[in-house]
This record gives sequence, structure tokens and C-alpha cells, in this order.
Amino acid sequence: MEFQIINKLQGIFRLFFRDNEIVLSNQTTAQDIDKWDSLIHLELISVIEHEFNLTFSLDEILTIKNVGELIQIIIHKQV
Amino acid sequence: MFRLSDRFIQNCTLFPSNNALFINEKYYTYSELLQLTHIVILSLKNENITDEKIAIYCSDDVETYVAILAVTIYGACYLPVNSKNPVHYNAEILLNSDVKTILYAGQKEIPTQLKIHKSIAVNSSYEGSPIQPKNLERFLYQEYAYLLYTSGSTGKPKGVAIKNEQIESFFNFFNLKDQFYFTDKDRFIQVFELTFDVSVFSFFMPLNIGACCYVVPQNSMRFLEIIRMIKEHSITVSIFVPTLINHIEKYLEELHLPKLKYSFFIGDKLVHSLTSRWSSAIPNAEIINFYGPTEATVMCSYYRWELNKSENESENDIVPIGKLFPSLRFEIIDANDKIIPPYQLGELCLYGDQVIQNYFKSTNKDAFIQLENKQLYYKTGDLVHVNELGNLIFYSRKDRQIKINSHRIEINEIEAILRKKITNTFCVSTFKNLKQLDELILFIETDKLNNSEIEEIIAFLRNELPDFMIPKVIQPIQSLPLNSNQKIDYNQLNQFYFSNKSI
Repeated sequence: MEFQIINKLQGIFRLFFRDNEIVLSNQTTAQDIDKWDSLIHLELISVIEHEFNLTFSLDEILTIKNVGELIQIIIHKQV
Repeated sequence: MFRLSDRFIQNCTLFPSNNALFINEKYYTYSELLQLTHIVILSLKNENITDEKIAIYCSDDVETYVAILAVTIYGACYLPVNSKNPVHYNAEILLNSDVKTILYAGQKEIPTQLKIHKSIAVNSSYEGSPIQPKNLERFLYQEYAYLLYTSGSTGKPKGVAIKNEQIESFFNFFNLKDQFYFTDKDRFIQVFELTFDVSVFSFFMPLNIGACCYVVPQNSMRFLEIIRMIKEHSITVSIFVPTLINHIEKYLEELHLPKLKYSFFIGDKLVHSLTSRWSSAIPNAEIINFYGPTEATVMCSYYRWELNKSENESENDIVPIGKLFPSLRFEIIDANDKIIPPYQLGELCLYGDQVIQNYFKSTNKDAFIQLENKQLYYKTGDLVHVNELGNLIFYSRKDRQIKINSHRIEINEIEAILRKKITNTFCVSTFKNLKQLDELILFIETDKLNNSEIEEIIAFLRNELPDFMIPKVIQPIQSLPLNSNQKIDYNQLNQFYFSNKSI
């Protein structure tokens, strides 16, 4: 499940940042991707919410530190 | 003679074990901060520094804050230089300011071009017996407290040097009886780059009262970090730009920050309807809208926001900027530089203890005007009028100066730099993004632009200007639309951009 989610996220990220060379891992953070700032982050969260058909609370958004933590929240919400 | 750090030194005696600074997940007490500062002061003394101004290569670390304290205690004027800005841009500032000494965090590299006459490393460790605050004598008695550079329309940043008595007058406003109830238990948040003058308030105000300053990292997630830190550290006094609540608008109803006592805004237009939603998240806080150009020392007017009163007073949903601090005077002038009644729309001119009378090393007096009372006023470029309750209402800028994330930008400065690179006719304009915030756009007269041409322009700009001054969009256009006066028609340009975008 984790593998499927990271693959889907990678597709979303590549489309969103218009960069086909993005490769996500659990450790990927905003520092690793050019242009990924807090404003872009909120837009990206909206896209992810739409694609996975779920919503994140502000507290969840504030605590996400890397892609791994994002995946764990998605898994938790899909169970 | 006043020093920015005078109260800090007193508070090192009164509250030595209080936390003074929280940065990079670590606390520093007043006593610890004093020890670190003392080491830098000794370095300055050993190097026999007698300069009027000392530059500080600013990054996100305790050493930078220690360097600022050290320079102010030493009695010199500090010039913050943002390590994130292009080297070329910083070198120009150092050259213009005539500084001979630069302080930088010991563990960081400083570009060779910025290694001026003396470069002194600052470290965040100390040994030996603690210094007593009373032993911290002043070495210099320089006139200025700090020197900042703002965007200039001629293509070069212009210097604003603030005198010790001007910053003293500014802080006096916050010491007025019954104005604010700050205590040594307060926790302030510092969100600004140190090259932005509101940081002087966010850093020194808590130190003036024995309270703690929490520094938000200047990383890409800054806006979210601000909210996270206010929650996590029960911040009691916040000051940031109104755009922050614009960005987190979708989540405002989820927020609950009961520990916040004061929520200060500055740097841009405050939208009443959004403020009203923000106020529900901060039930115990007073909201104050501040206004002030750098030339008038951080801030010079204030407005206490109240739901019903402000709803009636806001114009176009924009909250008033209120009344001037008691030590300042204003006039409103028309396009012919004649004083007009305050209820009429015109340019705001400021005079008083906090207002500069000239730009640093500049003889150009275009931004200043002698009015009928013979005093020299600073022309803010802001179009305002006064409402029935005597509050100033901001309407718009009269020139091409804009604000992006509170950074003051002269579009002419960007165009002047671009002239070195682009030979075709071009212009820089703005458009509103989805959140109704201004973004920069560069139009170039050409049939087509390929990716490598666009990347070349961006690479050039990155070398010349700070990030916030680089256009987000570069758009080819057959010919720039002109109005009947043969000037560029910015309304038509905007329409062109949006119609082109939708195709």
C-alpha cells in the first residue's frame, strides 16, 4: 500500500512541479524540491486531497515533516 | 546617548535566568546571551574597531543575533546583509555603505567578494568566568543605530540610516502608560528577515522587557512554521504581515490560539473580513494594525481593530491605518505638492522624531518636501485620506512601488537591471494570483520565447536581485499596448495575460 501511495504521490508531484525527474522517498522534504514553499505546499495539499479523496486538518498539515509522514497520514485516513 | 541594547543590559541583571532567545530549537537565557555577546565585543575591541558602521552577514543562527547585540552594545551602527541575496547585490550594498568590518557566523562560509577590510567570525560557545552586565562599557558613541537598504527606483538599493534618538522615540511609544501590557513572561515571535526593519521591533521589544524572542526559521515553510510555533510555544505577542492569514484562510476556522494577547499586523493592507475570521481564532487577543515606511522608523501609526467599529470604518474592506504616534505630524498634499484638507485623497507626508531627512549618502531630495510650516516632510508615496473619526485610510500607492510578501519593491529597479540583459522592448507589471495577491510578470516584445531563453533571463536575475524581486511569469507579446498618451496601458496588459493564459 505504501509503495502504491508513494508512486501515486510521485506522479502528482511531477505534474504539479512540472518536473519529470522528481523521485520521492520517505525522507524527501520541502528542502529537496526547488520552489516547494509553504504557499505551494498548501496548494499541493489541496491537489493531494482531491486525488486521494480525503481532507487534511491544519494540525496534520503543520506536523508533516517529510513524504513518509504524509504517506502515514494518508494510510491512516484510508483505513 | 540611547543604545538599542540598553534595556537588554539592565534585564541581564534583573532577569538573568529568564529565557531571552529561542532559535534552532534551543533556548538562551539573558545571562548566556550576554556571555556570547561579550566575546564578540572583546573581538571588536581587540581588533581596535572604531568604525561608525559594522556589517553583519545574516543567517538563521544565534551568532547573527549575538552579533547584532554586540554591535549595538559596542556603540556602533549595524548593517544587516542577507546571506540569501545574490553576492553581487550584497557587494553593492557594502560598497555603498563604506563599511570596513563584517561579522559572520563562524561555522558558515562568507563569499570572498564580501570579505572586506576586516571579517570577524562569531562563535556560539564561551569559556571562562561569566561577565557581569555592569562591566559592559560602551566603546563608541556613533550617531546611527542601524542602516538598511530598500528597493530604489533608479536601479540601485537606497540606504535608510536610523539614528539612536529616532529608534528611542519609536520604542517610547510602546512604553506609554496604559498603551500595552507586556511583561517579562511574554513570548514574542520574530518572523522577519533581519534586513526588514520590523525585525528591530520583534527582536528588541522582548529584550527590552525581560521577555523571550522566538525566531521562526527563514526556510521555505515559513508561513506554516509561524502558525506551528505560535501554537507549540504559546506565543503571547505576534507580529506578521496580513498576507499570512490570507494564505491560511481555508484553515482559519480550525485554529484556536487562546494564549495570544496581541496580534499585530504590518507591511500591507489588512482585509477586514479576513481579520474578523482571524479574531475568532484568537479570542483573548487585541488586534492592532500598524503602518510605517522604513523612513519613519519601523512603524508610525496604529489602529485598534474592533469588529463592529472596524466594519463601519473599513473602506473597500480595508482596515484603517489609524492615528500617528504622538511624536509625529502629517500633512496630505495633492499632485502639485500643495497641502489639502485631510478628508481629501492625497499623498501622506510625515514629519517628526522618527522620520529621516535624507537618504544615506544621497543628496537627492525628491522624496522630501518643505511645507508651509517650513519643516521638511518625507513624502511616503502612499495615497490616503482621513475619515470622520480622524483615522487615516490607506487607498493605494501613487507610483509603481508594490509589496510582495511585505517586501517593498520598486518595479523601476527591476526594469533598470533587466535593461542590462534584454535588448527588445519590455516592461514589468503585476497581476493578481488566485489569492488576490500581487505577482510580478515580465512582458517582452517578441514572437516567441523558448525555455532556454526564459531560463537564461531567470538565471541572470537570480545573480542580480533577491528572489522576491524576480518575476514569476515571463510572457512574450507582439507589442506592448499603449494608451492615448502613448504610455504602456497596464490594464490592457493584464487582460492580455489572462486571455492568453486561458488559451
